[in-house]
Amino acid sequence: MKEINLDVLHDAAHRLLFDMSDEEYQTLLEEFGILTKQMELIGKIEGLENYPPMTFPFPCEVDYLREDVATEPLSREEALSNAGSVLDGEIKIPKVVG
Amino acid sequence: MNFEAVIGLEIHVQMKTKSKMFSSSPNAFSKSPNTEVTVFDMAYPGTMPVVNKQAVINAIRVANALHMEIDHTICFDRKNYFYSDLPKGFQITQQFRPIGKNGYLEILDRDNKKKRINIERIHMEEDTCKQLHFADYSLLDYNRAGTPLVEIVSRPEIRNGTEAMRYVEGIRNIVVYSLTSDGKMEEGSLRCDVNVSLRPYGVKEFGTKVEIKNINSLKNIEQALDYEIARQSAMLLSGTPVQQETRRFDEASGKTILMRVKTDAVDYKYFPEPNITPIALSDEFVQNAIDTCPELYESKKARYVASGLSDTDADIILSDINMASYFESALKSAKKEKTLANYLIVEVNGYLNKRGISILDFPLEPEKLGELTNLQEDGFTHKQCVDILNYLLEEPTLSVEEARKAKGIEKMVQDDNLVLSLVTEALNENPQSIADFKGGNGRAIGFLIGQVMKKAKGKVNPADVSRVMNEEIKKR
Repeated sequence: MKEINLDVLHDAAHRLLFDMSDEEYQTLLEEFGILTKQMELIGKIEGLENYPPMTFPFPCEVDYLREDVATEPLSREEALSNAGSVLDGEIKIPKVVG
Repeated sequence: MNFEAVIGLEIHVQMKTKSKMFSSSPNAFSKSPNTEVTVFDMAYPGTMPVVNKQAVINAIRVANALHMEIDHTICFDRKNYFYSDLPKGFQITQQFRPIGKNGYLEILDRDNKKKRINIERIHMEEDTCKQLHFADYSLLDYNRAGTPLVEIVSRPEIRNGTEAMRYVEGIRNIVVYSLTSDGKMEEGSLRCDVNVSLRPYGVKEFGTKVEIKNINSLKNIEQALDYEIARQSAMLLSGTPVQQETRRFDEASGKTILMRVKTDAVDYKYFPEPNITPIALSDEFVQNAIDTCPELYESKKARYVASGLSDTDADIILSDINMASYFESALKSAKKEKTLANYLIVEVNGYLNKRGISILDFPLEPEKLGELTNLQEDGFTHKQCVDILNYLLEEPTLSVEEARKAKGIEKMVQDDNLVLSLVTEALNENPQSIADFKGGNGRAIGFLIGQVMKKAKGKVNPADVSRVMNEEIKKR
């Protein structure tokens, strides 16, 4: 498993477009340390390699599919109510390609 | 040195469903912006995806048409990326367990020989929102966000532009005739990304691949690839390495143009979608999706050709699913498929092209066109039938019989003795026309034929009259 250190956290924060104080980075690093130790404990369980990776803690297969019926969508006003800037019914954002 | 092109295609097909892939928002094309969205499409916290049954049925039908192994457990995964076209910060797709894998499509290669193109996978996912880019801002329309998609990924076994075009055409025919999609490349309901690299013949390793994005017509696929293969060949021959990059096709110049140079592959950190548990499809569900699939293009074509249509005629009719549907309805009343096809391809298409309208706006009911073509089978001439058709197009509420009577059109009499006696009569009455004809005035014979047709009240075949007239006038 990839080692989580301060460089990795700084890089992740940079990619996610935010930053934190040194103290917060330290707290996060310590929390990751606890998580990593717990994962290592689980990794020590015997015969684990015989199980396929699981997404859910127990089998939970369903057979439900939604019928293809359209319902009333949001009004445009509602849909755009949280947009910072709107132009001609579309959400306006700073240009995202070069 | 000669090079072999290695081409693989990724085709995204927008599915024609009433609602979106994971939300019950309406799924339609070209509504005004941001009017077909629900809270899920805009990633409001707490909203959960629920898989659309019809989208699954459509994907099964396409997978089956492509001879794929169908997974009876549906699993979705998250493709994580941060971009404004998907507000969730990830796209729900099927990375690890596609609904179909290991299929193939048969196409005709450049020499019109059958070639099998293997298909790696078909998977379901959601479309992104539509972005419009301007000088210093971008606009977002979330109507398209969440539209159900299937992505079909070929093995890199295509070798030139013609094969690529025919492969996409084959996929389009399947998705259109299975009623999975409109398959309209120009409207973006079928989008095509092409990967192409070159390698010297006999070499197994792939060369550096270039991606060409969003080609919007079949013809452009062929042109873009032919250009790109020539471009890369020229580079390699001059010792210039091809770089890994994304290009687009410029229709005006017929060239591919650099969009961006690819650096490291993006790591999407795929993981199983925790908000959708695996969905088990019963054998009956899968079989029923296959059994209820509408008749596909190839099957219809085989049927049309077996009934006497040429390959080309069948392709023309099937090139528009609405035209094919009109043809099939008209067949219910038509006696002969080939005659009906001729009317549809020549007369009806001519009418539609002249007015720039589709078969859906053609004023005549298909059953009436079928009945009309029966008149020709019963001995009316083609011209007479076309006259009746033209009249019907002006008066579409009339029956074929009413239109025929209104135009005073009667069936031609097949009687050579009658034709001969009328021709003799006309010649006897018009000695001057005979003299004119013999004197070199070719048009005089037209006048004489006209006289015969008048005497026969249009009931004899002008071709017969012309033949007999030419024989008799020479005897004078």
